Amino acid sequence: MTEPSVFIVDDDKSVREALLFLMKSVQLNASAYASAKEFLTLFDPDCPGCLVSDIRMPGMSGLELLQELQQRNSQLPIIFITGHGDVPMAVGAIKNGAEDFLTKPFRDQELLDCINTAIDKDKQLRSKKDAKDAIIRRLSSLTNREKQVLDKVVAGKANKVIAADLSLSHRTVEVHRSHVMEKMQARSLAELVKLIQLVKQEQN
Amino acid sequence: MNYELTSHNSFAALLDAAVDSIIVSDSTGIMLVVNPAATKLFGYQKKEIMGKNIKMLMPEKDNLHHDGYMKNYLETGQRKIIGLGRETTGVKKDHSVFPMYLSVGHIKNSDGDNFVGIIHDLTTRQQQQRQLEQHEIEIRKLQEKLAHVARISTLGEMVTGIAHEINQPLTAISTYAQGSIRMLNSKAADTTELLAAQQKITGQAERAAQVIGKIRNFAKKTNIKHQPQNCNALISEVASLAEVHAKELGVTLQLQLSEHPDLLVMVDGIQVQQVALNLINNAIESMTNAQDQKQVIIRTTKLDENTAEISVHDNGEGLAEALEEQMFDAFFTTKSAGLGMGLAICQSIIASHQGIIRFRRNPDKGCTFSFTLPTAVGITL
Repeated sequence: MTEPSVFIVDDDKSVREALLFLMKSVQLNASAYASAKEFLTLFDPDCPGCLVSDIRMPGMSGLELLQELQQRNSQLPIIFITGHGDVPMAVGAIKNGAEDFLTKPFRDQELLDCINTAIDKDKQLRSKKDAKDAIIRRLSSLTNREKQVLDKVVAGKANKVIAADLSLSHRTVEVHRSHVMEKMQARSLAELVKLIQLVKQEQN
Repeated sequence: MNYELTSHNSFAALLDAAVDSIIVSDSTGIMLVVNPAATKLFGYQKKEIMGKNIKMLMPEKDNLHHDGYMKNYLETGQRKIIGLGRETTGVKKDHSVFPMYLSVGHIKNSDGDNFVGIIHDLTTRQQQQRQLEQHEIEIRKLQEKLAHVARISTLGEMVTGIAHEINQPLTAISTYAQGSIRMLNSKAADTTELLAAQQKITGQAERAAQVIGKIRNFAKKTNIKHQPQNCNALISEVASLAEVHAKELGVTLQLQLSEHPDLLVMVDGIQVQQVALNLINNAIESMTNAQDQKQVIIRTTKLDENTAEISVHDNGEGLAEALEEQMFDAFFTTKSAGLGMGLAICQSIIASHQGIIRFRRNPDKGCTFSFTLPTAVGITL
């Protein structure tokens, strides 16, 4: 897996460079961008890490960047650093899904703590997403008949009932069921139900 | 001619009635006739000065030369004062010196050359003039004070932006310093990198100091002093101060400087910058709700040999037609937190520079404020 990276977005060159220097001092990978637009053009959703962004910037603001990332289904955590540290702005940012909000100038430990928390959160979100993606991949490997059987199994129906519902022999249902368990990599009914719920939850 | 005899005729009556002092002397300066207005003005009894030399009524600097003047005039006809008039000073009995207008006429008669001096007391006029000057000084001081208060108030309105402008370098400084400490503690310290960080810190401290310097310069109390100033430099400097406010509100400033880099204006630099900053800030604030690109264009132009013009062009909301007439009035404002002194002060400053401040609606969007300034013709810096 790629090492997590800190993405820095600030229109002030000196602040960008200073942040890069601080990241280097704690051996964190980092890259810096002069605008939200520049970041978005180079943005790779598969790169883990977190975003450290100024709020007020010419062109696209930090809050607009946050919205754009959400629109692209990115869950990259964002820490806002701003010189205009008014409370309503901080509340607004957090409500909109920002990870944290720091006022310039900040204490390095405070920022690094936020960054570490955000990177951890990103890691969890990514592994969760990876797990979900795996389940979805397994689901897509099922045949239509297997999917029908799966739905009924998860709904708690006995093989006999499923056989009657689908006008199949008891034996055929048993074969489909064992294929479903195998393809879904579930060792028990309970596990299968959990997997399906995980996908459904996320979809809700 | 026997002057004593004339006291009984109309000539004497004329002398007595005259408001101005009339003194007749002979060619050596001995006073032969002194009218009541003269004795009153100089504070003598008639008998105290009759027959004495007129030099006693003059300040030392004049009486030393008086004999010379007379002699010179009589010999060469060269005039310093005789037949003419001029402002000079007289000395009273109590030794006080006072301003007067003196005209001297030459009387030629059988007895020889006599001179008649008519003296008009200028004490009152000089006092009035002094009072007028005093008033003018007071008015100028008040204007200076008012302009200073307005500058402080302008800076007050920009305080968020200014704070941000200082906060940025502070953030960089503190981040570099904290990063340096971490590097030094980690023992993986790279001297080259640490050195570069220290240089950045120095640079950023300088940047913050420059912001503060600019503000301090703008906020200081000054005596109005009109002197040749480079027009482009004045406006560029103040635009960089306005940039602070522009950035805060997402507005870009565009400078279009005159192609005459040596365009000199005869102005009080800070006051002109104050007017420019006021107009630029107004332009920036007029675009708060603008949708498209928010841009303010600041232009310096040489209109002719004697006139420079500075204009500030925005594409903001403009101003309702009904408000145009009032906008230069004191206490007129469209801002919720405005005092309404900005444009009124701008106008008085530009008027004191013999300039004109103008407003016009742009054909497309927004408006343009401009003002003219006198150039410093024939002066090179």
